[in-house]
Amino acid sequence: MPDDLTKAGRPTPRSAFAGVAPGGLFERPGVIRLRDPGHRPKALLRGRFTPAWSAAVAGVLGVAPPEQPGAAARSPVAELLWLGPDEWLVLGSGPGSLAPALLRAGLAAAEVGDGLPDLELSGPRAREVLAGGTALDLHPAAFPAGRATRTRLGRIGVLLQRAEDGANGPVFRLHVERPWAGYLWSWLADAALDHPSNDESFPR
Amino acid sequence: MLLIPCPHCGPREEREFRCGGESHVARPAVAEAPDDRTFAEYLYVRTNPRGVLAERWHHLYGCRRWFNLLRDTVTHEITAVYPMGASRPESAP
Repeated sequence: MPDDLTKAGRPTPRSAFAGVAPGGLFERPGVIRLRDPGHRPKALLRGRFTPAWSAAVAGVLGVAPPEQPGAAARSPVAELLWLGPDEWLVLGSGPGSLAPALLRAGLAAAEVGDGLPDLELSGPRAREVLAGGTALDLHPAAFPAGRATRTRLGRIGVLLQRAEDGANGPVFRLHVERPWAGYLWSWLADAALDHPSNDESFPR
Repeated sequence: MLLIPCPHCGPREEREFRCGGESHVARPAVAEAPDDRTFAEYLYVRTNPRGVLAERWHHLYGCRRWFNLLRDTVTHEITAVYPMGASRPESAP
């Protein structure tokens, strides 16, 4: 991978949600809030989980990859999400990609941040809106903060990550393949209309 | 709708999976110079039982791993889940 693709100083990429949400924000008061957090570097890490391999990853990222399905691990440098038995997503804390550092350590990694944008879903009814499009068990006991899994939402595949709770209840990050980004945003904004807002009674 | 127990992710809905057809269909070895009939049967003929069937499934919208399971074609009951490459469990019916 050429280094100039991963430098922090490159031109700001066009947001994947620019076509459907130029402001990068949607809010239905009392229901949900969608926010485009902007481009972030993300690296896809592959490897057979062994103690030596895990230690090599920890040497670069400061934390060993989680071995349990759906689990996440965090260090000051990065957050690691379990995607499969030999597949992890590395979310960097800084503006630069972590893929070159992983490659230099002899690990199999690829920068996928441009192809895998994410949006932030929060609000008092975020869980109900999501539940309208996925069969995944979203109950806090089954899907607590810190968990992440790929699933299907509204016909498409998404990587659903539950971040730390915010002031208005749970906060979800939905990572989606770039061609579906506009569809996902529109689907969520449309689904929010099925729920009563703060300033109106239901049914409308 | 089936609730399929993925060996990695736990029970998930059927829409997250793709079915890969019957398991343990062995390709005739080239060294045995299979005739057309043998090869046609390998390609097109399946056991199609009324009862327990071994199937390959792919958790496409999850961990993206393949695995085998035993499913009853009458009741849809899933009685066993086992990894690719393993032989069909003998304990199951």
